[in-house]
Amino acid sequence: MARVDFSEILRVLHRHEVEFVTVGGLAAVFNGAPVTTVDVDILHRRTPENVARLLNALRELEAVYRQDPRNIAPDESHLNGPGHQLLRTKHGDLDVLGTIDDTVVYEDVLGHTIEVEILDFRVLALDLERVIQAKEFAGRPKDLATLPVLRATLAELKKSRDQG
Amino acid sequence: MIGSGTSSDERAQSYEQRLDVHGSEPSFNEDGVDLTQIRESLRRTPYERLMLVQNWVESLQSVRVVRGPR
Repeated sequence: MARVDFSEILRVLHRHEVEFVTVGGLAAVFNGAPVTTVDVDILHRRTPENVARLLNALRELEAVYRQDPRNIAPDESHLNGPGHQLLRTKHGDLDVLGTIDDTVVYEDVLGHTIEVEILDFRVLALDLERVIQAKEFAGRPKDLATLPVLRATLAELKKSRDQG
Repeated sequence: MIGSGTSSDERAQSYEQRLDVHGSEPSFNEDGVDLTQIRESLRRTPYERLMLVQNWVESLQSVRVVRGPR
């Protein structure tokens, strides 16, 4: 794998006009939370046109399943489903999610997003309230461990909005 | 607690002192979260935050290489 470059992963998705929302730890980071993450998590729109654009972007990123030594690339049927595709790309790890919270799809979260500027392009990220909700739903130790920081960040954001 | 070296009163006092570091703005919340880190992060742009995360992942990988099997 080349140097880790999450911005390049997002740039390639953007260039291929993939409709997606950044979720998970990176969304928390975009919202200002001082947390870390080791991958990019996206929730994509599961229409045939968007899945085709996403496949093209994943080909450019040389994405393969990271837990399978056979270097298998995801195909259309994988991306049409609700599951989570845990991929390794030439710029770092990328999780492509058909749903979050088991049943929530791209269209459901569009009203709970912020727009984030990454140099010369913009991407959508889940807002912090919704990130917290998703972490609470997931309930894994690694999710629960970050909740105090995420809630404190949300409180600081609200405070600065009230003052601003 | 036996052997802890500090009484609960001393710990409470220490916590109060930390709250007062920045005057009216507490440095820690009731869960012990460092609010100064959050304020610093909020002052950065999303891109700057993304770069920090990337650098952290890169440093993790270099540690893995150094400590990997020989």
